[in-house]
Amino acid sequence: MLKDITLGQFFPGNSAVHRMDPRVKLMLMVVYIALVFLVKGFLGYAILAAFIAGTAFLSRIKPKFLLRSVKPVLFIVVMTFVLNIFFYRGEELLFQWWIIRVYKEGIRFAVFMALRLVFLLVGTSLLTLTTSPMALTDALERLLKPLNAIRFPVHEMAMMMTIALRFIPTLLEETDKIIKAQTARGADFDTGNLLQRAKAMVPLLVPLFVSAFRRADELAMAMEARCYHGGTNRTRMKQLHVTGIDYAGIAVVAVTTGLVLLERLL
Amino acid sequence: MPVEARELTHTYNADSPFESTALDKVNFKIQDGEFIGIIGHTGSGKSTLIQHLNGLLKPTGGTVIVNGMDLADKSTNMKEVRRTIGLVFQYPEYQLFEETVEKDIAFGPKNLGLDEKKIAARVRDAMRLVDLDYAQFANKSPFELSGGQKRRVAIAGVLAMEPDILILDEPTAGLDPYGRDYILSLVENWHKLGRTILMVSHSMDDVARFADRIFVMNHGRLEMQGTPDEVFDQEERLRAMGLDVPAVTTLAGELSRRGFDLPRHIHTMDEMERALLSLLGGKEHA
Amino acid sequence: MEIIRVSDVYYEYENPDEPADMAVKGVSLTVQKGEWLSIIGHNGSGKSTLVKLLNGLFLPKSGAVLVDNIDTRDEQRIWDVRQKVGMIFQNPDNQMVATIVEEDVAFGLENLGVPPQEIQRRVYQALKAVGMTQYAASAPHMLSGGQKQRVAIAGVLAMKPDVILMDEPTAMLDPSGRREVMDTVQRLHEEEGMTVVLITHFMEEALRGDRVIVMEKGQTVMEGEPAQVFSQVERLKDIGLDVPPMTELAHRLRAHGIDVHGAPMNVEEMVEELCRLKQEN
Repeated sequence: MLKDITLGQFFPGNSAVHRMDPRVKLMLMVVYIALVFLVKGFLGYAILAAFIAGTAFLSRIKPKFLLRSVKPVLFIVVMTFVLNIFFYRGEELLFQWWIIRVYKEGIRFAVFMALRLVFLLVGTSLLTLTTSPMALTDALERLLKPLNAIRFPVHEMAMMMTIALRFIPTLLEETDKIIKAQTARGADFDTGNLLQRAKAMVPLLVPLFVSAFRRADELAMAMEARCYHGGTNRTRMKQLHVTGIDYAGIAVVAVTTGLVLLERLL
Repeated sequence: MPVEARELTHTYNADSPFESTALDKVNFKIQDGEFIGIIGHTGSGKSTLIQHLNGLLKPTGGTVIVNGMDLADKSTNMKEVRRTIGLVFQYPEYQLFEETVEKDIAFGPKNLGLDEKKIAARVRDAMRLVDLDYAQFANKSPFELSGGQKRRVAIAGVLAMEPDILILDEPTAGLDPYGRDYILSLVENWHKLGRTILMVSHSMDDVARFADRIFVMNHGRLEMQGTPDEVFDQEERLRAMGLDVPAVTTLAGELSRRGFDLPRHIHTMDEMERALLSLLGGKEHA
Repeated sequence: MEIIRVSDVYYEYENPDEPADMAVKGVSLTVQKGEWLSIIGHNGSGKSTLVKLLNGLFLPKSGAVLVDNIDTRDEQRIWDVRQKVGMIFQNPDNQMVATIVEEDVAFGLENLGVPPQEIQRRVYQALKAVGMTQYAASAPHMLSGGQKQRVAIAGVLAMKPDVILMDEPTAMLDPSGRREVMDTVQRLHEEEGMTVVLITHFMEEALRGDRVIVMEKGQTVMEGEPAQVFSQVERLKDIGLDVPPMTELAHRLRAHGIDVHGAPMNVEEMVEELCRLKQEN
């Protein structure tokens, strides 16, 4: 059933990584992404691998789930790898057949590019696996608060994200229901050419939009009834606190950064 | 068009941590022209059951046979099944999408591949069956109508496919008392015109009034099936499943305990009225 | 003590798409502190419009609505009005804002600018009052309809309102959800003295109240204690409303010359009355 689909890929838990302040996690993620691009050689990737493995171990997320994030983009990873092997022009020719020339540098470069992608994916999914979408939205809202000065509607954006997250399961369930109801009236969503299929979507999309607008209308009224009037003078129940775990996390990332920079210089 | 379920089973998300059995070896036979009431609390498997009857869900075990067509068999023509069995979902008005009432009702017949003339005739018939005046409503947008009218248009959309068997999932949900009575009287009329009716309902009074037989679903099992008398006589068992009995049934039980000599099986207002009149000696008509 | 006063209020929709018969045409009423007022009437009788006038979601075109002596048209104090008069809507899905139950309950308090510590305290009190503490960290879409409505009630309770308005809160629920919500409301009413204004299509829910108002074509046409109102079976049926089953039975017996006294509302009262009649017979 659609109901069982979890939002994003958050994996609830109570590990040290889960308990970290989402703002700190988000900022450390930015540092990590920079590191992935700074790494020069295999030693650097070994350092990052150690960092990821350590964090994953602490978060008690099974490696299976972590690697699953690579699956949807595996095709892109493989393509990057293959293209780089075939088109990189280096000096030491390893293999030649017809117009294909494989250089030693090419292999090295291709491996690096593929690793870079994998490290980016695994790192970011470690963040989303241990941080609820709600906490991430919250962290974004607080971190971007200074942008209010240039009239960027930070609170409104965050509220929109929250409402979207709240209604995704509801609308998925509704989609399921409408598909079934129209199928019972003989609608066919699965066969025909592209144009026919696009046309077949009308009986699904119109009711879905009508219902989404009705929901939006009712929600707006319900929010007003509960005194919602934008972000001004609003307080939050959950306060975010930077604690010992966060300082430990910052320290670990700092050490990793130091090691990566050292590797780059050597 | 008899409908038969044999060991019908449905398991959601088999072999995953979310595995749940929504239907567990359900067996029944429905004859032509019967009015079946389906009761059971939310999550008892009623919705899963009715979605199997027109092939929207495939059994994970057992099968459903509709007029000789085996719904577990992949080669069965599903269009024919869906023409034979019309399914009206809860809050069917949320599936309306066309610019006019006429076009919306025509959607089903069109999908059956009928010609223009036949479709037009079907739309008129269906509108008559839901008591909507053709001249007045055909060219209106369904979105401009009142809640009760929208629901009737949506039901007409299913009736226009001229199903032999009509399944209604809580057709009166969310309506006011007048709207509830209106829809129920229409359903009663379709039944009199010869259709087999399956109606899911939370109202024991409605089920007691209209159904020939009642199916009681509980935890995915067809826990009881029988006439209203047979089912509602087992008040204790129903209560244990979190279900009610008609108010007059409770009253009859209470009165019997207080020494009233009432006939057995009192489940509708009419039956109670008759019994009390003969006991207290009221005039037959005032 | 009077908490809401509605004096000769008129309201109609400007949007031509809205059916005109949903307007409110000259309604006057008061709600006393601590009472339970039920409003019944068929769809389009104007009752939904009326409740939205009680917390300033709609503003009267003429006449006035006073909540604790604040005019709902006073823009400066509209948030005071909405804090004093909390509202529960029909569709449980379309009134929940947050992805976690406790954060949804906190929503109103956050809007009022209540300090975080105080929010946490009140959120847990409110969840406790509706018996939903064990679901504090759940996602709304995993709850049943009845549970969602109880969360919505908690969200309103946390704001410490004087009145809870409910616009057909059980219309989309199954019987057990309906009972669950009504029992919660009744407990709040009896134990905490909460003032309740309930719109409903279910007559057995209206019975639970102290007073019933019947709306028809934008006006109040009947008013009184439940027993008084529901004893007028013919009139209610003319308006297109139901009566509770025992009231209906009493009415039918009376039509056949059996002298049923009063207006029995539930099975217990009916049993007593029938026993009395049997004795006489």
